[in-house]
Amino acid sequence: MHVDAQKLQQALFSAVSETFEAMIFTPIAPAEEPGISSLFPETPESMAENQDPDSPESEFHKAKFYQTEIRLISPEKAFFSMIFPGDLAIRITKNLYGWMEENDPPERIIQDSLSEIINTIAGKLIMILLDDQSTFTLSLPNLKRVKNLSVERGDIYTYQTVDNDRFVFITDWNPLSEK
Amino acid sequence: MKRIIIVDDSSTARMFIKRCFEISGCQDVEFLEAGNGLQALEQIKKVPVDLIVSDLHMPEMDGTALLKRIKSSPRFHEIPVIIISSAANPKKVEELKALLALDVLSKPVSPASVSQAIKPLLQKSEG
Repeated sequence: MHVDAQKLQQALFSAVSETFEAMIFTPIAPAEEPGISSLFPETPESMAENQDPDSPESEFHKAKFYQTEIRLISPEKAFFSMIFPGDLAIRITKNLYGWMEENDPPERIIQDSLSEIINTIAGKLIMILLDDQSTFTLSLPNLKRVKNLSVERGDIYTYQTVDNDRFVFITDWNPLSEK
Repeated sequence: MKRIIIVDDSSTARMFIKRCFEISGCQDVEFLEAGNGLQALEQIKKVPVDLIVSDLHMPEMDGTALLKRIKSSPRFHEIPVIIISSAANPKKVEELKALLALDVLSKPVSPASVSQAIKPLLQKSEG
């Protein structure tokens, strides 16, 4: 499957925006300030200057992220990932569940919500890109919590909500064939 | 009272599907939940259900295997099965309908798509 960059960008925006509107009732747009660094409340450099990063109270310490991953297994290989700041992950889960309680949702619900979101988005994306007569298989989604963000490969697409919360979607096509 | 079992390995997906059924006007319905096809089979052996709503891609037993087991069972073959999947393109829909799925819906489902899918069942029960 040849994936034209512009077509991928349009298809991904459709998949992400339709999923967010249908499940979370939140419109999204491409971010004005793209890239991984836009996810930090402050830049890591400014944190390092102002605070002890090992202090539990530091912004750097609090900057925890959820990274969800899913793979396209057939008809070819691809890797997709989404990274959400912790605060946004909680807000997304609350919207999705209609969470009215004062306490935040438990961790397992947050992780399950984000996994279901990437599963839905990846499916919609492949359906847009693949021809109607081909079937495809996705892996089960995987999720991890990370403190430090580093993206070694793939193309990064950054989106923002109406509240200016940012998250990224990373695509890597044919990841195995390049090794 | 009607009984619907929702089969999905994601508790979030089960909650979302259940909510869509409720918004689409399914009143007086008891919802059961299962995390995969095997769990669903165990439940429906104990408690009769009127509709199975299943995800496609699940660990242990996936939606296609569950559909085949239901439709080949003398005891359960009349239970309608709706498949909900993030991988439901036209080719897959065709394959699943050939296996006698009542309908195949793409994720994320909506109250409107659920309402449309269960229309034949409502018409049948009214008739």
